[in-house]
Amino acid sequence: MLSIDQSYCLECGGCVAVCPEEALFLSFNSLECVVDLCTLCGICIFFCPVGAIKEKDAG
Amino acid sequence: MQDKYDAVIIGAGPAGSMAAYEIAAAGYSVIILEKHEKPGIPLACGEAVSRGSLEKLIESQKEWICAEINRAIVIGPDGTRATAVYQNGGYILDRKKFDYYLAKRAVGAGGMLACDSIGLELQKDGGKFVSIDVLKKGGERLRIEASIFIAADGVESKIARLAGIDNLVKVNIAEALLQYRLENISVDPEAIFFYVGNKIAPGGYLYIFPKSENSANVGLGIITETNRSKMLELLLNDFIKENFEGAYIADRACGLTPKYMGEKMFRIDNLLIAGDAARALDSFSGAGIINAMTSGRYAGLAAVEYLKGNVKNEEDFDRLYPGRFLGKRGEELKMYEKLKVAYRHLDDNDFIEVIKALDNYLTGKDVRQIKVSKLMMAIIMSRPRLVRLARYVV
Repeated sequence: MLSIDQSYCLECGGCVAVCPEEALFLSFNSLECVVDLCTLCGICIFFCPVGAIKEKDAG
Repeated sequence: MQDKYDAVIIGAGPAGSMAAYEIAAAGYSVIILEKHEKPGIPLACGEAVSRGSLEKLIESQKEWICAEINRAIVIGPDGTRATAVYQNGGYILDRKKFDYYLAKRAVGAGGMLACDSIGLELQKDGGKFVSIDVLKKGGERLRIEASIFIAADGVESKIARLAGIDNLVKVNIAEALLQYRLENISVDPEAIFFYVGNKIAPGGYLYIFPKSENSANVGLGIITETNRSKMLELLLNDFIKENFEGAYIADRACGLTPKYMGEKMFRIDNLLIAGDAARALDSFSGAGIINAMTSGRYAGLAAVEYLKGNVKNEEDFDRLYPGRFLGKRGEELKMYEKLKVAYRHLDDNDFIEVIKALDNYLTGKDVRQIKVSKLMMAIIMSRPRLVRLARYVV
Protein backbone atom coordinates (compact mmCIF):
# COMPACT_ATOMS: atom_id res chain seq x y z
CA MET A 1 0.00 0.00 0.00
CA LEU A 2 0.95 3.64 -0.30
CA SER A 3 2.63 5.46 2.50
CA ILE A 4 2.24 9.21 2.58
CA ASP A 5 4.65 11.33 4.56
CA GLN A 6 2.38 14.18 5.65
CA SER A 7 5.31 16.27 6.86
CA TYR A 8 6.74 16.34 3.31
CA CYS A 9 3.40 16.77 1.51
CA LEU A 10 2.82 20.37 0.42
CA GLU A 11 -0.81 19.74 -0.58
CA CYS A 12 -0.35 20.86 -4.18
CA GLY A 13 -3.01 18.43 -5.40
CA GLY A 14 -0.94 17.20 -8.33
CA CYS A 15 -1.15 13.54 -7.33
CA VAL A 16 -4.93 13.82 -7.00
CA ALA A 17 -5.11 15.20 -10.55
CA VAL A 18 -2.97 12.41 -12.02
CA CYS A 19 -4.47 9.46 -10.11
CA PRO A 20 -6.42 7.38 -12.68
CA GLU A 21 -8.37 5.55 -9.96
CA GLU A 22 -9.52 8.60 -8.01
CA ALA A 23 -7.99 7.00 -4.97
CA LEU A 24 -6.32 10.13 -3.61
CA PHE A 25 -8.08 12.87 -1.75
CA LEU A 26 -6.93 16.10 -0.14
CA SER A 27 -8.58 16.46 3.21
CA PHE A 28 -8.29 19.42 5.58
CA ASN A 29 -4.56 19.33 6.16
CA SER A 30 -3.61 15.95 4.84
CA LEU A 31 -3.49 13.75 1.78
CA GLU A 32 -5.54 10.58 2.10
CA CYS A 33 -5.46 7.42 0.02
CA VAL A 34 -8.51 5.18 -0.32
CA VAL A 35 -6.78 1.81 -0.05
CA ASP A 36 -9.63 -0.09 -1.75
CA LEU A 37 -9.34 2.03 -4.89
CA CYS A 38 -5.54 2.24 -5.11
CA THR A 39 -3.98 -0.18 -7.60
CA LEU A 40 -0.40 0.78 -6.75
CA CYS A 41 0.19 1.93 -10.33
CA GLY A 42 2.85 4.31 -9.04
CA ILE A 43 1.87 7.36 -11.08
CA CYS A 44 1.53 9.54 -7.97
CA ILE A 45 4.90 8.37 -6.67
CA PHE A 46 6.43 9.29 -10.01
CA PHE A 47 4.74 12.66 -10.07
CA CYS A 48 5.17 13.96 -6.51
CA PRO A 49 7.64 16.87 -6.70
CA VAL A 50 8.75 16.42 -3.10
CA GLY A 51 8.85 12.64 -2.80
CA ALA A 52 6.15 12.49 -0.13
CA ILE A 53 4.54 9.32 -1.48
CA LYS A 54 6.19 5.92 -1.26
CA GLU A 55 5.19 2.33 -1.63
CA LYS A 56 5.14 0.46 1.63
CA ASP A 57 5.29 -3.34 1.83
CA ALA A 58 2.10 -4.82 3.18
CA GLY A 59 3.98 -7.46 5.17
CA MET B 1 -24.55 28.17 7.68
CA GLN B 2 -27.98 27.87 6.10
CA ASP B 3 -28.92 24.76 4.17
CA LYS B 4 -30.10 26.54 1.05
CA TYR B 5 -28.37 29.08 -1.20
CA ASP B 6 -28.83 30.27 -4.77
CA ALA B 7 -25.26 29.26 -5.57
CA VAL B 8 -22.54 27.13 -3.97
CA ILE B 9 -18.90 27.64 -4.88
CA ILE B 10 -16.23 25.12 -4.02
CA GLY B 11 -12.84 26.74 -3.39
CA ALA B 12 -11.95 30.21 -2.12
CA GLY B 13 -9.06 30.87 -4.52
CA PRO B 14 -9.03 33.66 -7.12
CA ALA B 15 -11.55 31.86 -9.37
CA GLY B 16 -14.06 31.05 -6.62
CA SER B 17 -13.92 34.46 -4.97
CA MET B 18 -14.33 36.33 -8.28
CA ALA B 19 -17.37 34.17 -9.11
CA ALA B 20 -18.86 34.68 -5.64
CA TYR B 21 -18.42 38.43 -5.90
CA GLU B 22 -20.42 38.63 -9.14
CA ILE B 23 -23.23 36.49 -7.76
CA ALA B 24 -23.42 38.34 -4.45
CA ALA B 25 -23.24 41.75 -6.16
CA ALA B 26 -26.26 40.77 -8.27
CA GLY B 27 -28.22 40.17 -5.06
CA TYR B 28 -28.24 36.38 -4.95
CA SER B 29 -27.23 34.29 -1.96
CA VAL B 30 -23.92 32.50 -2.37
CA ILE B 31 -21.61 30.48 -0.17
CA ILE B 32 -17.95 29.61 -0.80
CA LEU B 33 -16.75 26.35 0.72
CA GLU B 34 -13.05 26.42 1.56
CA LYS B 35 -11.26 23.30 2.71
CA HIS B 36 -8.56 25.11 4.67
CA GLU B 37 -8.89 27.25 7.76
CA LYS B 38 -8.51 30.38 5.63
CA PRO B 39 -8.09 31.30 1.95
CA GLY B 40 -4.61 31.55 0.45
CA ILE B 41 -3.00 28.48 2.01
CA PRO B 42 -1.09 26.40 1.14
CA LEU B 43 0.84 28.26 -1.55
CA ALA B 44 1.19 26.52 -4.92
CA CYS B 45 2.13 29.44 -7.10
CA GLY B 46 5.00 31.58 -8.41
CA GLU B 47 2.89 34.65 -7.59
CA ALA B 48 3.74 36.61 -10.76
CA VAL B 49 0.97 38.41 -12.59
CA SER B 50 0.60 40.86 -15.47
CA ARG B 51 -0.39 44.24 -14.13
CA GLY B 52 -2.49 45.31 -17.12
CA SER B 53 -4.54 42.11 -17.07
CA LEU B 54 -5.00 42.26 -13.31
CA GLU B 55 -6.17 45.84 -13.30
CA LYS B 56 -8.84 45.08 -15.87
CA LEU B 57 -10.36 42.84 -13.20
CA ILE B 58 -9.74 44.56 -9.86
CA GLU B 59 -8.04 47.62 -8.42
CA SER B 60 -4.52 47.00 -7.17
CA GLN B 61 -3.91 47.21 -3.43
CA LYS B 62 -0.48 47.93 -1.92
CA GLU B 63 -1.06 45.36 0.84
CA TRP B 64 -0.67 42.39 -1.51
CA ILE B 65 2.00 43.66 -3.92
CA CYS B 66 5.51 42.50 -3.03
CA ALA B 67 7.40 43.78 -6.05
CA GLU B 68 6.77 45.74 -9.24
CA ILE B 69 8.37 44.26 -12.34
CA ASN B 70 9.78 46.29 -15.24
CA ARG B 71 11.65 43.72 -17.26
CA ALA B 72 12.00 40.03 -17.95
CA ILE B 73 15.35 38.47 -18.77
CA VAL B 74 15.79 35.10 -20.46
CA ILE B 75 19.14 33.40 -20.00
CA GLY B 76 20.30 30.57 -22.25
CA PRO B 77 22.52 27.57 -21.57
CA ASP B 78 25.68 29.51 -22.56
CA GLY B 79 24.71 32.70 -20.73
CA THR B 80 23.19 34.39 -23.80
CA ARG B 81 20.58 36.90 -22.67
CA ALA B 82 17.48 38.52 -24.05
CA THR B 83 15.83 41.34 -22.15
CA ALA B 84 12.20 42.28 -22.57
CA VAL B 85 11.47 45.75 -21.22
CA TYR B 86 7.98 45.97 -19.87
CA GLN B 87 7.50 49.22 -17.94
CA ASN B 88 5.07 48.68 -15.05
CA GLY B 89 4.44 45.31 -16.63
CA GLY B 90 3.89 43.03 -13.70
CA TYR B 91 3.59 42.37 -10.02
CA ILE B 92 4.83 39.69 -7.72
CA LEU B 93 1.97 39.13 -5.31
CA ASP B 94 1.65 37.96 -1.77
CA ARG B 95 -0.86 35.23 -2.58
CA LYS B 96 -1.87 34.72 1.04
CA LYS B 97 -2.95 38.33 1.34
CA PHE B 98 -4.23 38.45 -2.23
CA ASP B 99 -6.54 35.44 -1.88
CA TYR B 100 -7.72 36.72 1.47
CA TYR B 101 -8.50 40.12 -0.07
CA LEU B 102 -10.51 38.58 -2.92
CA ALA B 103 -12.52 36.42 -0.51
CA LYS B 104 -13.15 39.42 1.72
CA ARG B 105 -14.33 41.37 -1.33
CA ALA B 106 -16.89 38.65 -2.09
CA VAL B 107 -18.04 38.64 1.53
CA GLY B 108 -18.28 42.45 1.44
CA ALA B 109 -20.67 42.15 -1.50
CA GLY B 110 -22.92 39.86 0.57
CA GLY B 111 -21.41 36.40 0.00
CA MET B 112 -20.75 33.80 2.70
CA LEU B 113 -17.41 32.14 3.28
CA ALA B 114 -17.29 28.82 5.11
CA CYS B 115 -13.76 27.64 5.90
CA ASP B 116 -12.77 24.18 7.17
CA SER B 117 -15.46 22.82 4.83
CA ILE B 118 -14.89 20.18 2.17
CA GLY B 119 -17.34 19.67 -0.67
CA LEU B 120 -17.67 15.90 -0.76
CA GLU B 121 -20.29 14.87 -3.22
CA LEU B 122 -22.95 16.35 -5.49
CA GLN B 123 -26.47 14.98 -5.74
CA LYS B 124 -28.39 15.03 -8.98
CA ASP B 125 -32.11 15.10 -9.58
CA GLY B 126 -33.83 15.38 -12.97
CA GLY B 127 -30.59 15.99 -14.88
CA LYS B 128 -29.49 18.80 -12.60
CA PHE B 129 -27.24 19.07 -9.60
CA VAL B 130 -29.42 19.97 -6.63
CA SER B 131 -27.29 19.68 -3.52
CA ILE B 132 -23.83 19.08 -2.14
CA ASP B 133 -22.65 17.16 0.90
CA VAL B 134 -20.22 19.11 3.03
CA LEU B 135 -17.82 17.77 5.61
CA LYS B 136 -16.87 20.18 8.39
CA LYS B 137 -13.56 19.86 10.19
CA GLY B 138 -15.11 18.55 13.37
CA GLY B 139 -16.58 15.64 11.41
CA GLU B 140 -20.07 17.10 11.06
CA ARG B 141 -21.74 16.42 7.70
CA LEU B 142 -24.43 18.55 6.19
CA ARG B 143 -26.25 18.93 2.90
CA ILE B 144 -26.62 22.28 1.16
CA GLU B 145 -29.15 22.82 -1.61
CA ALA B 146 -28.56 25.26 -4.45
CA SER B 147 -29.69 26.08 -7.98
CA ILE B 148 -26.22 26.35 -9.43
CA PHE B 149 -22.73 25.14 -8.47
CA ILE B 150 -19.27 26.37 -9.36
CA ALA B 151 -16.22 24.15 -8.92
CA ALA B 152 -13.13 26.28 -8.39
CA ASP B 153 -11.23 23.72 -6.37
CA GLY B 154 -7.86 23.93 -8.06
CA VAL B 155 -5.80 21.53 -10.06
CA GLU B 156 -6.97 18.43 -8.17
CA SER B 157 -10.59 19.35 -8.98
CA LYS B 158 -12.21 16.51 -7.17
CA ILE B 159 -15.67 18.00 -7.60
CA ALA B 160 -15.58 18.14 -11.40
CA ARG B 161 -14.38 14.55 -11.51
CA LEU B 162 -17.05 13.36 -9.11
CA ALA B 163 -19.57 15.14 -11.31
CA GLY B 164 -18.45 13.10 -14.30
CA ILE B 165 -15.85 15.18 -16.11
CA ASP B 166 -12.81 13.23 -17.21
CA ASN B 167 -10.13 15.71 -16.24
CA LEU B 168 -7.42 13.18 -15.50
CA VAL B 169 -3.99 14.73 -16.06
CA LYS B 170 -1.51 12.54 -17.92
CA VAL B 171 1.68 12.69 -15.98
CA ASN B 172 3.99 12.64 -18.99
CA ILE B 173 2.46 15.76 -20.54
CA ALA B 174 2.13 17.73 -17.32
CA GLU B 175 4.84 19.84 -15.81
CA ALA B 176 5.84 19.33 -12.21
CA LEU B 177 7.10 22.31 -10.30
CA LEU B 178 9.09 22.80 -7.16
CA GLN B 179 9.63 26.25 -5.72
CA TYR B 180 11.57 27.65 -2.81
CA ARG B 181 11.13 31.04 -1.26
CA LEU B 182 14.69 32.11 -0.67
CA GLU B 183 15.70 34.71 1.85
CA ASN B 184 19.03 36.28 2.73
CA ILE B 185 19.86 36.75 -0.96
CA SER B 186 20.43 39.78 -3.16
CA VAL B 187 18.19 40.17 -6.23
CA ASP B 188 17.04 42.90 -8.61
CA PRO B 189 13.52 43.60 -7.30
CA GLU B 190 12.35 44.92 -10.68
CA ALA B 191 13.32 42.01 -12.91
CA ILE B 192 12.16 38.46 -13.36
CA PHE B 193 14.63 35.90 -14.70
CA PHE B 194 14.06 32.75 -16.72
CA TYR B 195 16.79 30.18 -17.26
CA VAL B 196 16.41 27.67 -20.07
CA GLY B 197 18.52 24.82 -21.38
CA ASN B 198 18.88 21.14 -20.80
CA LYS B 199 21.40 21.32 -17.99
CA ILE B 200 19.48 23.66 -15.70
CA ALA B 201 15.90 22.92 -16.72
CA PRO B 202 15.46 19.90 -19.05
CA GLY B 203 12.25 20.41 -21.05
CA GLY B 204 11.13 23.30 -18.86
CA TYR B 205 12.44 26.44 -17.26
CA LEU B 206 13.74 27.83 -14.03
CA TYR B 207 12.48 31.17 -12.78
CA ILE B 208 13.44 33.83 -10.26
CA PHE B 209 10.57 36.07 -9.18
CA PRO B 210 11.75 38.66 -6.64
CA LYS B 211 9.59 39.32 -3.60
CA SER B 212 11.90 42.07 -2.31
CA GLU B 213 15.55 43.04 -2.63
CA ASN B 214 16.54 40.07 -0.54
CA SER B 215 13.96 37.41 -1.11
CA ALA B 216 12.58 35.64 -4.15
CA ASN B 217 10.52 32.72 -5.37
CA VAL B 218 12.95 30.45 -7.19
CA GLY B 219 11.25 27.60 -8.95
CA LEU B 220 11.81 24.90 -11.51
CA GLY B 221 9.27 23.26 -13.77
CA ILE B 222 10.24 20.25 -15.87
CA ILE B 223 8.86 17.33 -17.79
CA THR B 224 11.04 14.31 -17.42
CA GLU B 225 10.92 10.58 -17.78
CA THR B 226 13.04 9.90 -14.73
CA ASN B 227 12.02 10.08 -11.11
CA ARG B 228 10.71 13.55 -10.89
CA SER B 229 10.93 14.31 -7.20
CA LYS B 230 14.63 13.60 -6.91
CA MET B 231 15.37 15.21 -10.26
CA LEU B 232 13.56 18.45 -9.43
CA GLU B 233 15.12 18.78 -6.02
CA LEU B 234 18.64 17.98 -7.21
CA LEU B 235 18.47 20.41 -10.13
CA LEU B 236 17.01 23.22 -8.05
CA ASN B 237 19.48 22.68 -5.22
CA ASP B 238 22.39 22.73 -7.68
CA PHE B 239 21.21 26.00 -9.14
CA ILE B 240 20.78 27.60 -5.74
CA LYS B 241 24.15 26.42 -4.51
CA GLU B 242 25.80 27.94 -7.56
CA ASN B 243 23.85 31.21 -7.71
CA PHE B 244 22.64 32.04 -4.22
CA GLU B 245 25.30 31.20 -1.70
CA GLY B 246 24.13 31.55 1.87
CA ALA B 247 20.47 31.53 0.90
CA TYR B 248 17.92 30.44 3.45
CA ILE B 249 14.96 28.37 2.29
CA ALA B 250 12.03 30.02 4.06
CA ASP B 251 9.24 28.10 2.37
CA ARG B 252 8.60 25.41 -0.20
CA ALA B 253 5.76 24.95 -2.64
CA CYS B 254 5.07 22.53 -5.42
CA GLY B 255 2.47 22.02 -8.08
CA LEU B 256 1.39 20.78 -11.44
CA THR B 257 0.85 22.55 -14.74
CA PRO B 258 -1.72 20.49 -16.62
CA LYS B 259 -2.37 20.55 -20.33
CA TYR B 260 -5.15 22.81 -21.58
CA MET B 261 -7.94 20.39 -22.40
CA GLY B 262 -10.48 22.54 -24.23
CA GLU B 263 -14.05 23.60 -23.63
CA LYS B 264 -15.40 20.27 -22.42
CA MET B 265 -13.68 20.88 -19.06
CA PHE B 266 -15.72 23.96 -18.21
CA ARG B 267 -19.27 22.84 -17.59
CA ILE B 268 -21.46 19.84 -16.93
CA ASP B 269 -25.17 20.68 -16.61
CA ASN B 270 -25.50 23.33 -13.89
CA LEU B 271 -21.99 22.81 -12.53
CA LEU B 272 -19.61 25.43 -13.88
CA ILE B 273 -15.89 24.82 -13.56
CA ALA B 274 -13.38 27.65 -13.34
CA GLY B 275 -9.67 28.29 -12.95
CA ASP B 276 -7.12 25.49 -12.65
CA ALA B 277 -9.99 23.06 -12.08
CA ALA B 278 -11.06 23.69 -15.70
CA ARG B 279 -7.42 23.55 -16.84
CA ALA B 280 -7.90 27.23 -17.73
CA LEU B 281 -4.28 28.15 -17.54
CA ASP B 282 -1.46 28.96 -19.87
CA SER B 283 0.11 25.53 -19.96
CA PHE B 284 3.35 26.86 -21.45
CA SER B 285 4.31 29.16 -18.60
CA GLY B 286 1.93 27.84 -15.96
CA ALA B 287 0.44 31.31 -15.53
CA GLY B 288 -2.95 30.78 -13.97
CA ILE B 289 -3.99 33.68 -11.75
CA ILE B 290 -5.48 35.91 -14.43
CA ASN B 291 -7.11 32.99 -16.24
CA ALA B 292 -8.57 31.80 -12.95
CA MET B 293 -9.93 35.24 -12.09
CA THR B 294 -11.33 35.79 -15.58
CA SER B 295 -12.95 32.38 -15.86
CA GLY B 296 -14.28 32.73 -12.30
CA ARG B 297 -15.79 36.09 -13.13
CA TYR B 298 -17.49 34.78 -16.28
CA ALA B 299 -18.72 31.71 -14.41
CA GLY B 300 -20.21 34.06 -11.80
CA LEU B 301 -21.87 36.21 -14.45
CA ALA B 302 -23.27 33.13 -16.19
CA ALA B 303 -24.61 31.89 -12.84
CA VAL B 304 -26.41 35.21 -12.39
CA GLU B 305 -28.08 34.87 -15.81
CA TYR B 306 -29.06 31.32 -14.90
CA LEU B 307 -30.57 32.45 -11.60
CA LYS B 308 -32.46 35.20 -13.41
CA GLY B 309 -34.01 32.53 -15.62
CA ASN B 310 -32.29 33.75 -18.77
CA VAL B 311 -30.76 30.39 -19.60
CA LYS B 312 -33.34 28.45 -21.58
CA ASN B 313 -31.24 25.69 -23.09
CA GLU B 314 -27.79 24.21 -23.45
CA GLU B 315 -26.86 26.62 -26.27
CA ASP B 316 -27.64 29.63 -24.06
CA PHE B 317 -25.49 28.11 -21.37
CA ASP B 318 -22.54 27.36 -23.67
CA ARG B 319 -22.67 30.85 -25.10
CA LEU B 320 -22.46 32.37 -21.61
CA TYR B 321 -20.03 29.90 -20.15
CA PRO B 322 -17.48 28.96 -21.22
CA GLY B 323 -18.32 30.81 -24.48
CA ARG B 324 -17.61 34.31 -23.20
CA PHE B 325 -14.45 33.28 -21.41
CA LEU B 326 -13.08 31.23 -24.30
CA GLY B 327 -14.03 33.97 -26.76
CA LYS B 328 -11.52 36.13 -24.94
CA ARG B 329 -8.88 33.61 -23.91
CA GLY B 330 -9.49 30.35 -25.78
CA GLU B 331 -7.27 30.99 -28.80
CA GLU B 332 -4.42 32.10 -26.60
CA LEU B 333 -4.70 29.05 -24.36
CA LYS B 334 -4.63 26.81 -27.43
CA MET B 335 -1.62 28.63 -28.83
CA TYR B 336 0.35 28.24 -25.61
CA GLU B 337 -0.30 24.53 -25.74
CA LYS B 338 1.25 24.42 -29.26
CA LEU B 339 4.10 26.58 -28.10
CA LYS B 340 4.84 24.11 -25.35
CA VAL B 341 5.07 21.28 -27.85
CA ALA B 342 7.49 23.27 -30.03
CA TYR B 343 9.47 24.25 -26.95
CA ARG B 344 10.02 20.65 -25.97
CA HIS B 345 11.75 20.01 -29.27
CA LEU B 346 14.42 22.65 -28.68
CA ASP B 347 17.98 21.59 -27.92
CA ASP B 348 20.59 23.82 -26.31
CA ASN B 349 21.81 25.22 -29.65
CA ASP B 350 18.22 26.06 -30.58
CA PHE B 351 17.77 27.86 -27.27
CA ILE B 352 20.84 29.99 -27.92
CA GLU B 353 19.59 30.89 -31.39
CA VAL B 354 16.07 31.61 -30.17
CA ILE B 355 17.38 33.89 -27.43
CA LYS B 356 19.61 35.77 -29.90
CA ALA B 357 16.66 36.22 -32.27
CA LEU B 358 14.46 37.23 -29.36
CA ASP B 359 16.95 39.81 -28.18
CA ASN B 360 17.20 41.16 -31.72
CA TYR B 361 13.46 41.42 -32.03
CA LEU B 362 12.91 42.96 -28.60
CA THR B 363 15.57 45.66 -28.76
CA GLY B 364 13.93 49.05 -28.59
CA LYS B 365 10.42 47.63 -28.18
CA ASP B 366 8.13 47.56 -25.19
CA VAL B 367 6.48 44.19 -24.67
CA ARG B 368 3.06 45.81 -24.84
CA GLN B 369 3.53 46.42 -28.59
CA ILE B 370 4.22 42.76 -29.30
CA LYS B 371 1.89 39.95 -30.29
CA VAL B 372 3.15 36.56 -29.18
CA SER B 373 2.20 34.85 -32.44
CA LYS B 374 4.06 37.47 -34.54
CA LEU B 375 7.04 37.24 -32.24
CA MET B 376 7.14 33.45 -32.63
CA MET B 377 7.01 33.67 -36.40
CA ALA B 378 9.73 36.35 -36.45
CA ILE B 379 12.00 34.12 -34.37
CA ILE B 380 11.34 31.04 -36.44
CA MET B 381 11.85 32.83 -39.73
CA SER B 382 15.05 34.53 -38.65
CA ARG B 383 16.80 31.22 -38.07
CA PRO B 384 16.69 28.59 -40.82
CA ARG B 385 17.42 25.87 -38.27
CA LEU B 386 14.20 26.68 -36.49
CA VAL B 387 11.86 26.53 -39.47
CA ARG B 388 11.25 22.85 -38.74
CA LEU B 389 9.59 23.96 -35.50
CA ALA B 390 7.01 26.02 -37.38
CA ARG B 391 4.83 22.96 -37.92
CA TYR B 392 4.17 22.76 -34.19
CA VAL B 393 3.12 26.37 -33.90
CA VAL B 394 1.10 27.08 -37.03
